Amino acid sequence: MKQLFTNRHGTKVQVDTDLVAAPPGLPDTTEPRAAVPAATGQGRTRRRLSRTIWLVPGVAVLLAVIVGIGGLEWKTAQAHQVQAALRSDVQQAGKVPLKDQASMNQVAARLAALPVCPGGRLGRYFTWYPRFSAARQACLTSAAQATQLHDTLAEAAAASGYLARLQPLIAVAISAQNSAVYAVPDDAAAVWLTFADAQAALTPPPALSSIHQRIRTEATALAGEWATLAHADEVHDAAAFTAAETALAGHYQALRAAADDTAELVAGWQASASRLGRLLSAP
Amino acid sequence: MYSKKRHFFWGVAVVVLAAASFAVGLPLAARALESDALQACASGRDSYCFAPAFSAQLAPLATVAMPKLATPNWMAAPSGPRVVTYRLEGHGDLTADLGEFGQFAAATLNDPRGWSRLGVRFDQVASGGDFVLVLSAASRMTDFSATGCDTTYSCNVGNNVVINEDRWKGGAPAWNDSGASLEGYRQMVVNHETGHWLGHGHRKCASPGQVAAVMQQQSMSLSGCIANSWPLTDEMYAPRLGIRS
Repeated sequence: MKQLFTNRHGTKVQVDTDLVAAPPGLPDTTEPRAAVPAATGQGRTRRRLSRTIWLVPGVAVLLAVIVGIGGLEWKTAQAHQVQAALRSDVQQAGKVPLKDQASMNQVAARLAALPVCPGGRLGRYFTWYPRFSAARQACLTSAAQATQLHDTLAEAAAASGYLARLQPLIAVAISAQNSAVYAVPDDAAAVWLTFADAQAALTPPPALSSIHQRIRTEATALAGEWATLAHADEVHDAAAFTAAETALAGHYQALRAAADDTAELVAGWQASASRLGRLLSAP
Repeated sequence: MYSKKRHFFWGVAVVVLAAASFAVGLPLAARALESDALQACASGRDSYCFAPAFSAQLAPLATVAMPKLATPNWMAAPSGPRVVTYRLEGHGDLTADLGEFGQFAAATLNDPRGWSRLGVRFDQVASGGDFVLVLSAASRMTDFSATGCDTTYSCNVGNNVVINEDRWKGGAPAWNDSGASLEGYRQMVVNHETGHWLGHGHRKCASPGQVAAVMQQQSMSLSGCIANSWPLTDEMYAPRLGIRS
């Protein structure tokens, strides 16, 4: 008897069942594939196909996950590296002696050129990954401290430049007013007027603009009071002479106070810079 | 029982150690904070140290001062010397002659080598007066001020120019050892204490071998200076009287 089978290659073949019948004495265990009739060959093909269809994206997803995690770890390591490089640069820059405006500007420029933490749109999207998020945040904190340090240094540099131009003007005024054993009121008035004009020509940095204005006001007042005193001397007005003398003492005191306030401002910058320097140098 | 004792011992030890470290640590921390606040950073040692660079830049402005101003001639006293009056008093049981003290002090105050060079004449008055010149028993010196005066030296407290009787009678070892006279000491001590009333503070020996300023504490030590009874030229000013150098 001839029957139709589908072999394992899916090919339909006709088999003479009489020829493959079990030898006598042995039970015939070969059952015709009643459960897998001719139509079951198509089912197997579908199953294989569907397995292949799921396997490909599965492998792709697995690969994507591996690549993704690898990428994130790489970004994390990059963030750590940038932070380390940034801190190292800050430490190196801190070794430069800050003697004047030029050296302060030089170091500020070095701080402005520090490496940038990994970020951008990609960085923001990947912040869900805790290790990268922590590394990026640490890097950004160090970068913010470095920026603050830069700003402080830049402010100090600008102030130093202004004071370097103011210093000789004051020195000249003091030297001129003290040229005689006793003050010559007319000369002193001229000295402080000259100083006030020269000082007004200076451009102060924003941080010192109010102090600049105060110095100018006091210098102008000194010129005025010296002139008043000279006039009182001429007309023998004792009351005006004494009042001008008292006022002069007050204006000199106010000039010294301006110096004290500037020193206080500088001390504040220094405290901030030292604190940031220590933070960025800490292991 | 033993275990309880041991726990108690360790408990006490821990509390004592904690208290000790707190007591030691707190002042140290406070001192550290204080020194941080007061001391600027050091260039070349501390990183980012720029504050010292500003010191020199700010120095002229920080030290600017009014120059000396001479009193115009037209503001000076119109005629004759300015008169300062004083009253003479004795204080406590004195053995020295108060009248003799008064005559000597008047001569000293109006001596042309003394404070009269300021253009001032010192007149003794019976009551009132700009200041009181007192000869006081040593034991009663502290009546004038428990802290500003003592039984050993003379002093000035407010308007009281107080001469210690012991010093008046015997001078002071530092002065006597230099070989200077008792008369010179008496002139010095009257000028010195009156100088305080005129507004002078103490001066130091400028350098060994120099003549001492009258405002130097010559009763205590000459510090190598030469004993001197009279105010130096650069001591010729009197803030209390508004007289400038």
